[in-house]
Amino acid sequence: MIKLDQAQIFQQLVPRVQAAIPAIHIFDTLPSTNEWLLEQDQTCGHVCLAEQQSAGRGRRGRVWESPPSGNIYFSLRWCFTETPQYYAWLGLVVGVAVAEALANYGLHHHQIKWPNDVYMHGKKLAGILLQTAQPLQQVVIGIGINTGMSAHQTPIDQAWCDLGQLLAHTIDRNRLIALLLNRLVPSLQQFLHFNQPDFLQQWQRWDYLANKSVNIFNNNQQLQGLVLGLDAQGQLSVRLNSGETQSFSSADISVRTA
Amino acid sequence: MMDVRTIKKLIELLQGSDVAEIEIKEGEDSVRISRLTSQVQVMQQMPMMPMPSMQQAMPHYTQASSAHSPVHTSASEEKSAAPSGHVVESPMVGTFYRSSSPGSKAFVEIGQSVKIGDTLCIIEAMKMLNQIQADKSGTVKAILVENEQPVEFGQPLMIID
Repeated sequence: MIKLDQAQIFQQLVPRVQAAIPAIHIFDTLPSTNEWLLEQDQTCGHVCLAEQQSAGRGRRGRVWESPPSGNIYFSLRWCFTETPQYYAWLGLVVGVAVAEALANYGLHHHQIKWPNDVYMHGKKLAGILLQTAQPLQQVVIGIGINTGMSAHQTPIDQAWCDLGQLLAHTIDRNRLIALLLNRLVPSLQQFLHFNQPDFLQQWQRWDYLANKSVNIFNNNQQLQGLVLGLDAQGQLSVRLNSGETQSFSSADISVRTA
Repeated sequence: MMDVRTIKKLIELLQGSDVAEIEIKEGEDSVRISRLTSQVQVMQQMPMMPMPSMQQAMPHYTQASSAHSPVHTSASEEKSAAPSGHVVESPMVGTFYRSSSPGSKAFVEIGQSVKIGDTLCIIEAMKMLNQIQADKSGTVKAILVENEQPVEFGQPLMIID
């Protein structure tokens, strides 16, 4: 396992991204990299990394398994100068940045499961959780990537995969994190001028759920339908079996196997 | 057009209270509900003046009908005779959650007193969680949305007084 290292990450950043990242904090263990950045004031552009999280979280209080086995637990606090017009799209934009960083590292055939899980052959490789701070135009972007999960023994309650296994070599996390920042930071810098048609073209390249039959668990209900794509607000638009078309801003979606 | 569930919730709320009348403004729509006469008026107003900066800043949070600013709301409250509840609005489209995870305790209940900065609820959209904090101290008078229901930009979520 190659240890996380500030200098190695920083020297692989392009100058424009170096200028936007005043500090990279690395911890052996933290409850949660997102929580740590949310609790620190004056950390715009700071990156927080940990070798292990004791309270890694997904949405709705779910656990993000965070053993010290060489995974990436990454958070970045970003401060927009104003509340972005297309703020609700940010989670999707971050998902595309992660997918493209993984492609730059050498991975092929991965996809994004709306809104922003990175999947490979139907198994989850990376997860993202954004949490707005106060004021609202500040956001902490949390990204977990399985780069060393296969060395860990605890069972996980969903199908997952691991970049180290997929590429059959030990992952240089410092290089991957630098590639991620080199891809993510320009997207954030341009996000106040978000161009929806351009983004939709990018999205379609990665979209795992397009035209798939899915089960949707939402508001204690199970629904079935066909995914139509994104609506005008970035929500998932689904034609339900009832014939009705409905958009979802949050839901558990699983692909139906025939 | 204001969400019919919101109006229904407001009516139920008023019926269970000693408040005589309440007026809520959402974008260009406003609704005034009077308990004594059970009258519901929904007024479609022309915008008093264009608000180009706000419209440029916000349109894609919103439905077409709700070009809207919070400043506008408080101005109309001052003019009306309705009780001066402070309306907490959704900052974006998303799903409304009253607790941090299913089965855990709600952040607030009706009747609870809150301080500025206390968490009231979460709005989630596309894996972005917005913890909505009280921007006014007082008592939670009303929770206007059911747990796990979708909300629009600017939709009233709670009333604090």
